[in-house]
Amino acid sequence: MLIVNLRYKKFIKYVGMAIIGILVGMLAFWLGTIKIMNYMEGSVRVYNKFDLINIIFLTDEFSKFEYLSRSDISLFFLPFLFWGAGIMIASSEFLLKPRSYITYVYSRVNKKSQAMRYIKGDSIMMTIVYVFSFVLTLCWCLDIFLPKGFEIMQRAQESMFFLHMGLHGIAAVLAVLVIGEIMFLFYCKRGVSFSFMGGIMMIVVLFLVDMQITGWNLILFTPLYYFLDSICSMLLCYLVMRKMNSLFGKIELSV
Amino acid sequence: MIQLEHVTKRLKNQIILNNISVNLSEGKCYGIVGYNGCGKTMLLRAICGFMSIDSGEVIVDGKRIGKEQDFLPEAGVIIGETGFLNGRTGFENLKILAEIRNRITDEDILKTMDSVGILYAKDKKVRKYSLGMKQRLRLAQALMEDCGTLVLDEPFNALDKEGIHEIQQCLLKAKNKGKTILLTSHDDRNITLLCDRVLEMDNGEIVSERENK
Repeated sequence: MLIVNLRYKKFIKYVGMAIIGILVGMLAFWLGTIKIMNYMEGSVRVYNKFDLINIIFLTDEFSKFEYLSRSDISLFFLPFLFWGAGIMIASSEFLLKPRSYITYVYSRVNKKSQAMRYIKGDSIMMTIVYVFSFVLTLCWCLDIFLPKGFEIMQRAQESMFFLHMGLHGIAAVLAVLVIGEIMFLFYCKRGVSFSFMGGIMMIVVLFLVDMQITGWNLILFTPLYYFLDSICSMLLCYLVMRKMNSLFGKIELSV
Repeated sequence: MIQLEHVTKRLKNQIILNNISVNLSEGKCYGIVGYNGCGKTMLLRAICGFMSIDSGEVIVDGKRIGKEQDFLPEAGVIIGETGFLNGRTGFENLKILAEIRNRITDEDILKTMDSVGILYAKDKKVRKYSLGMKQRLRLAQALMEDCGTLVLDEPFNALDKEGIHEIQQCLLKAKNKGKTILLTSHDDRNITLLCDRVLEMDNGEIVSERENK
């Protein structure tokens, strides 16, 4: 009976994450369209789907596109919306549990690692559902509601677009999980508010670092190497953080 | 059988537990008494494996806690702050915890809630619970899975007269079932009524161990 309930609850949770992904994706598409339309009016260049995606995820090729400017802080709003919601989802399972809750979990498991897994919840699956709901919503919106004046892409170009979106999605899942692991370490050591602030700071730091380094992408939408650079970096960081959390991510109740 | 051998714990150069050695037999109820800050809660945390100790060993059925086994096995525990999920109902909170061991039914949970006198508030969000109601809910989570050992730090805190009587009855029932109970309380009447043996603590040490008459 309990197992059936558990599966049903998990399913409901994933549906919730998908709905958040769809809503955030639609909002990002709508706001991104409004932003790029302002630039289209005075431009001679024909825009396509990639331009809108550059606005939504942000790319570091500032010199290449006239609608990107390092001094325009409002450009950071849309990517921050996506990443902010992502890290909230990845960390929601543990951020909603008070640290004193851990005693109830400790008394029901044999190993600390089991307790930590339970406290963390299934953040991996929730992140995957959120990111790919967001990405698929964007693709769907771009197909159905492509703004007037946008270039209709050729089949090969369209396939490249989907490939980029898919690979960026994988990199984004890994990046969100890395930030989630860092937040979990902060949560174990310092508590909920420190963890929350740490997550926000990490997004800002990753943006700034990624904008400074050229020839290597982290979280921005720069498909220099088909996002394999982002995927490799984030996978490595994720494995390192998992190891660190298994060594140091323990909630001590001694004080 | 729970054995403590020369257990010592320091926090910021202050000795919290000082070379404690004691054997706690199965099926008995132990009362731990002493003034505030004498180390009662820390002793219970060390026994449960909730904190690391600097030296000595806690051995439960031949297994060393913190080494061969991270935590005290098969135990219902109340230590520290309330710490429930405030946005969930009392019943949901217990159900989520029950899913970890996954061996009791919804009916078992409701029966335990009834025995600690909180059944009427099962569908109420925990954030709307009074302090006494939260304390009853904590007791329910410790009792619901019928564990062999109960570790209860101040279980009568925040309870009214009726509540104290109900919980006393629950614990007497558990004691008669042969459970090992470790209990701290500032009220001598609870210790006298429930405990077989009394351990008196002072300054991180057990200064006396006596039979309860």
